[in-house]
Amino acid sequence: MILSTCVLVPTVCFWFDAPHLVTLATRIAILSIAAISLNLLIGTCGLVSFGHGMYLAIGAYSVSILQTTGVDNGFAHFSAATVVAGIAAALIGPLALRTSGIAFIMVTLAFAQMFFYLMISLRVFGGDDGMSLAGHSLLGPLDLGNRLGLFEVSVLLLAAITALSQLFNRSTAGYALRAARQNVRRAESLGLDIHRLRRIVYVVSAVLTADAGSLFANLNSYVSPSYSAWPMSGDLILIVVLGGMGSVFGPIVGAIFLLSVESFAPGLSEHWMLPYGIAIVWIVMTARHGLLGALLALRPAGKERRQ
Amino acid sequence: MSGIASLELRGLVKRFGGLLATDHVSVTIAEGELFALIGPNGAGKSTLIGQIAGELMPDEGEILIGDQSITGWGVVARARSGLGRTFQIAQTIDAFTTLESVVLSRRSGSLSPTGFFAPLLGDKEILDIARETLNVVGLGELTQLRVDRLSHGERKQLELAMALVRQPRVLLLDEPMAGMSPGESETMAQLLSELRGKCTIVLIEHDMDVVFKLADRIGVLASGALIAIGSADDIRNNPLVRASYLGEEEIT
Ligand SMILES: Nc1ncnc2c1ncn2[C@@H]1O[C@H](COP(=O)(O)OP(=O)(O)OP(=O)(O)O)[C@@H](O)[C@H]1O
Ligand SMILES: [Mg+2]
Repeated sequence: MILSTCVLVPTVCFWFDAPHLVTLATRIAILSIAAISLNLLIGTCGLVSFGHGMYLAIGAYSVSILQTTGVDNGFAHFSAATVVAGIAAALIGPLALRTSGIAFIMVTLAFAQMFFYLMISLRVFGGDDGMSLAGHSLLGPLDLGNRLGLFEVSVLLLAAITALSQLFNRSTAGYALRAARQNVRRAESLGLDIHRLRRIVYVVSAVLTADAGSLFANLNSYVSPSYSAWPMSGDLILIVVLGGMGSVFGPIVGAIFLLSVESFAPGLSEHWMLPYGIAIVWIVMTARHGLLGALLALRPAGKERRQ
Repeated sequence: MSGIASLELRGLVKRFGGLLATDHVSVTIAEGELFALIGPNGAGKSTLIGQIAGELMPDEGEILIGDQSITGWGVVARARSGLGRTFQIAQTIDAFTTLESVVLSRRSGSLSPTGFFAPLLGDKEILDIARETLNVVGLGELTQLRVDRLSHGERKQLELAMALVRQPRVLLLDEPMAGMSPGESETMAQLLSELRGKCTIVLIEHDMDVVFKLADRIGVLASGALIAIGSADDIRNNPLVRASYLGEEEIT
């Protein structure tokens, strides 16, 4: 996995001589990181957070606010994003996790909207105009203002998070959470402390999404309260659901599809929204395991285990 | 956590609105005893098990495992302190294989930080224990089968395997043979007789032959109250019991 990335990165960069393609690929990688993190909640725990845009925003503002105070050290940016998102999630998680289903969706949405209005009201941080970055994050010699550098960092982080979440899914904790998603009664009577596990996963998911947010700020050179608004959180959910929440790679497929269409379709026709909407509905309704599931089903059958 | 422990109920009361589902139940079940709980439908047997397991909180009374009061504890804490159970309607995890289910149960007590990355099925020793347990309950051939492909009886066997693999100190079995084929019931009865003395067991069962054969003592529950406790012979000859329960059995 890591190896193939290392091989892939230079090749891809070579092919992507067109700068807007590098930007698109970077956006796909960054939102894939956020979506994979979100899928730890949706896919593994069965908890749909409609507020993950807030953590993206926290990560993004960590960069822009520190930049205004003259701190351009990227490690400081990511640390701030991690700490602030971690604290926010540690406070919000236990509250939100008292609920599940629709109530969980609503509580997470409410917190993200609160943060959205908070940032709008804070004129020092640009209010509803947002903030342009004074500069980019410096990771040692690497300037994330450099398009290829940012792309490589994003892809490496994506690879690392994919690998870790693969490990997590096969771990005892991953199984425990999936067990609870299907049958809480059973999971608890085995002595699995599901609530504690969910609180931990909520914080980890928030922190990783915030780190994606810091990369996102560097990509856009701009941060706005809209990152915390519901359409952003909704896009992340859409990426997960479209790609397939059953697997670690699903969100990557979802991000590739969604962002490519949004990037290319407007050039093809001004009426791209209609077929696009229909396509999304069709995918969600027909492919139970998302696009990735549909792609895998195209492979010659024979893997099914019968007895 | 292994070992055996006694189970004591002190004056348990549970009300559902106006219904007295558990009516001042007191009993001490000794270490290693197989205590059968019988009584007509709706007598409050499952409700009693639910209170012992922590799923239902009693309105009055106390529950002790060994010397320790667990009355205020939740389901998870009780399970961790060595309480294992099966449900009247088997509660399983359909998308897992039987082996995954049993291994998860075995490892559930020790969720350290490594539990977040070490693969569930990565420990050969635990895999062997899990396979052996599946073998014991009669699912040795079906370790790779998804749970949703199991028959009703096999699910009950799996539930028992999930409970046994954790070496419970107290085991609560709510009608383990209900809905089983005659062959499966026989295996289960054989298994229960082998478990005697190895852990403290509360067994709810409608099959009187099995109960009379296996139980050290039998408690009879009617309308929430324990109306009789005694050996098989005591219960068979107790006029109160014959009137309220065994009589019905003979008619049907
Ligand atoms: N959650 C609940 N809310 C209200 N009433 C309940 C609840 N659970 C059980 N009851 C009632 O309490 C009584 C005892 O039910 P319980 O399930 O314990 O009986 P049981 O002895 O296990 O019967 P069965 O042999 O049918 O399993 C019944 O009248 C039942 O309707
Ligand atoms: Mg019952």
